[in-house]
Amino acid sequence: MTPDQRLDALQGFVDALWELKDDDVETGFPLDSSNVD
Amino acid sequence: MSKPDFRSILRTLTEREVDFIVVGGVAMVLTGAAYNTFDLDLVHSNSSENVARLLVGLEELDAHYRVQPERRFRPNASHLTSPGHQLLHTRWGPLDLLGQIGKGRAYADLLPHSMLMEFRDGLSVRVLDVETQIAVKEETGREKDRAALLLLRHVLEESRKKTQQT
Repeated sequence: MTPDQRLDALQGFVDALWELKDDDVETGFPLDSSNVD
Repeated sequence: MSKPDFRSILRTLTEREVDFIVVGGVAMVLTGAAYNTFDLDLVHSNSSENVARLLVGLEELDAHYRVQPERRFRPNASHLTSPGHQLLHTRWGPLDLLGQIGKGRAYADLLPHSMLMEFRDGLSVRVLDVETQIAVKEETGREKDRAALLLLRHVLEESRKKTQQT
């Protein structure tokens, strides 16, 4: 895979999960709260 | 919170000629690991010239700290010169700006261990190589890094096999 394909794949995953996010729960999106993951 | 858009953050910063290296989960994906992440981790050069360019980029990104987002605290030059981690929200989602990672590895230390990756539309960014990603996670020694380390070691092993075959 090219770097573009890899970045697009990751972005696609994030986009899909974002669609599942409850609009009323601003803090519900999984996010690393500390530092590098 | 804004929907994450990694490419837009990277493009904004590269257009401002900010010197940085992609690390963390996005670097893992870009170097071949099947991993998921929602935040973009960057180690930036803390030279005064680069911090000045970074501040302009962060203004365009409407960056502010994730802690107490309602107060919209913004990082300043002093924050960005420090070795600390600035955990920000931007108009394109979360962005972690890291002064150092692992055992005191700053931008200048990581630069020789990074590679320039080219993306469409002329976007090019530096990404930390797999060997150094592994070294950093071993130095950090966090429980949450165990799965990531397994993935990265597998990527490295496969890469070495391919090199031997060619």
